[in-house]
Amino acid sequence: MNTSALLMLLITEGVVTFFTIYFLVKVLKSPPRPIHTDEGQPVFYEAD
Amino acid sequence: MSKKESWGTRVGLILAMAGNAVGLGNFLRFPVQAIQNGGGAFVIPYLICFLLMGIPLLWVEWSMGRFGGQKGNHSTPFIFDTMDRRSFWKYLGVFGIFTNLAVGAYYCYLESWTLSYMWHSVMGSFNGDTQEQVAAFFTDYTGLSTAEPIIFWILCLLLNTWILSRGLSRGVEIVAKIGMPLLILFGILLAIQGITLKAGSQGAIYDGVVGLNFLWTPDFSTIWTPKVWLAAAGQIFFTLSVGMGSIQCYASYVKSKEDIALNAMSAGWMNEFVEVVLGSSILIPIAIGYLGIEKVVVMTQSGGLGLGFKTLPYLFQQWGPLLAALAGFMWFGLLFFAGITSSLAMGTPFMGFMTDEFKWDREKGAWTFGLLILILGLPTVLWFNKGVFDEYDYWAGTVSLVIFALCEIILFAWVFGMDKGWKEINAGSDIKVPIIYRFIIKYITPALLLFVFIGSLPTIINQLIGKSIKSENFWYVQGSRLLLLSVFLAICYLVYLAYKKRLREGRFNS
Repeated sequence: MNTSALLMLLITEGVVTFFTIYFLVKVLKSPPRPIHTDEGQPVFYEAD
Repeated sequence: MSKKESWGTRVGLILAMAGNAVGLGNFLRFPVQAIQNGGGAFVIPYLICFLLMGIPLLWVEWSMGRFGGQKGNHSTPFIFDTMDRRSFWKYLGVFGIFTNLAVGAYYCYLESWTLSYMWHSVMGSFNGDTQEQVAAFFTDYTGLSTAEPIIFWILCLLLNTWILSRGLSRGVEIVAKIGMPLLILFGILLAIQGITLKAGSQGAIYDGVVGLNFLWTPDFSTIWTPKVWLAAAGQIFFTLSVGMGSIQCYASYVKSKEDIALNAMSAGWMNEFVEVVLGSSILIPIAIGYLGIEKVVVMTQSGGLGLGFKTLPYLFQQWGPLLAALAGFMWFGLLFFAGITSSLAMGTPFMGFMTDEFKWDREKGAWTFGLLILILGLPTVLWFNKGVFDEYDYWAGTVSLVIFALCEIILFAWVFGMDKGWKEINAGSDIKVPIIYRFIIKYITPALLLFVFIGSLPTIINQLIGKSIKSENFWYVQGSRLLLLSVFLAICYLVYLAYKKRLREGRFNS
C-alpha cells in the first residue's frame, strides 16, 4: 500500500475503533440506575 | 406496543439501535461512495458530517423519543405534538410512520434476497457457474422466473411479523443481541479473507491490499467540491437511519431518568465501525482482487447492489466449494442481519401509534404491519424492473428523510427551544455532552441539512418531472407515486381521528 493510503486507513479505522470501544466500555461500566416500579419499590436497571 | 413495553437491558437497546442504523448500505453503498468521491479523502467530509450532523441528529431524535415516551407517545405525530401544540406538527410527524411503512415495503424484499442467497450459497447453487451465469441468476430471480422470490419474501415477512409480535425485550432485542455480534464476527472473518488475498493464489489476479490501497488513497483535491460534501452528508444521513422516526420510537421506551446521550454515541459509533472498518474491507478488496480496478470502477457506476449479488457469489467460488459456501453464508448472513435489525425498527412506529391511539395490542399491530408491508411491497416485487422499486426508494428512502430531518431539527432547536432541548439531551446523561453542541444543533446541523436539501433539489425536480423515467415505465411510476401519496394521506387521516379521540377523552396534557 502507498503511504498516504496506509495513513488514511490506519488513522480513520483507528479513530473509529477507539471511539466504538470507548463508548461501549463506558456503557458497560456505567453503574446501574435505580428505577421505581409502580409500587414505588426500587429496581436496578442493569447495563446487561 | 403496550404502554408497559420497555427494553430489557441497556446493551440490548444499544444493539437494537445500532442494528436499526446498520443496513445493507454499510457494506454496499459506503465503499462505492468512497471510491466515487475521492477515495481515502472522502472520510474527511464524511467524519466531519458525522460530528456536525450525524451525532446531533442522533441526540435530537433520542431525546425527542424519550420526551414523547414519558407522555405515552411512541410515534412521531404525537411526539411532535407534545413539543409544540400547533396542529401542523403532528401532520409533519406523519413522515415518521409513512417513511417506515414505505421503506419497509421494499426493504423486506431486499432482505428476502439475502435469505435466499444464504440458502443458495449453502446448497452450492453457484458451484461451477460462470460470472455471467451468476449475474443471470440475479436477473432471473428479480424477474420472477420462478415462485421462489415470492416464497422467500413471504417467509421474511412472516419472520419480521412474528418477532415484532413478541415485543421489544422478547423479540427485537433478542434478534439484536444475536444478530449484531454475528454480523460483526462474519464481517471480521470476511474482511480478513479479503485483505489477505494473494495474487496468484485462489485465482486472484491482485492482492487484496490493492483494493484497499485504491479505496483509501486520498485525492485531496476533491475535498473542495460541493458534490463530495453532498455525497458525504448524504451517506451519513442514510447510514445512521436518522430522519425516519424509528429512533424516536425506540427511544420512547427509554425511561425518563435513563441516559440517552451515551447510548446514542455508542450506537452511532458502532454503526461507523461496521461501515468504515468492515464495510470498506470486504466488497472492494475482494472484487478488485479478482477483477482489477478498472472493471470494478465501471461496475460501481451502477451501485453496490450488483457487485454484492451478481459478482461476489461468483468470486467466492474461486475459494473452492467449502469456503465458497461458508463465505456466501457469512456474506449474505451479515447482510440479512443488517437488514432484519433495520426492518424490525421500521415496524415499531406504526405499532406504537396504533397501540397509543386505538388500544391495539401488540399482536394485532404486528400482523397488520406485516399485511400492510405485503400489500405495499407487492408492486416493488412484481414490477421491480419497471422503476417501482427505484421510485419507492427515492421518495420514501431519500427525499422524505431529508424533509423530516429538517422539520425535526427546526422543531427541536427553534420551536421547542435549545434551553429545553439541551436539558432533555443531558437529563440522566452518563457523559458530559460538549457545550459546543448547543451551538451546533441550533445553527450548524440545520445549515448542513439545508445544504443537503438544496443540493438535492435539481435531482428532485428532475425525478418529479420524470426526466429519467423510461416511457414504458411511465404508468408504473405514476401508480407508485399515487400509492405512496395515498398511504401518506391515509396516515394523516388516522392522526386526525386520533386527535379527535384525544379531545373527546380529554387526553391532552398542558
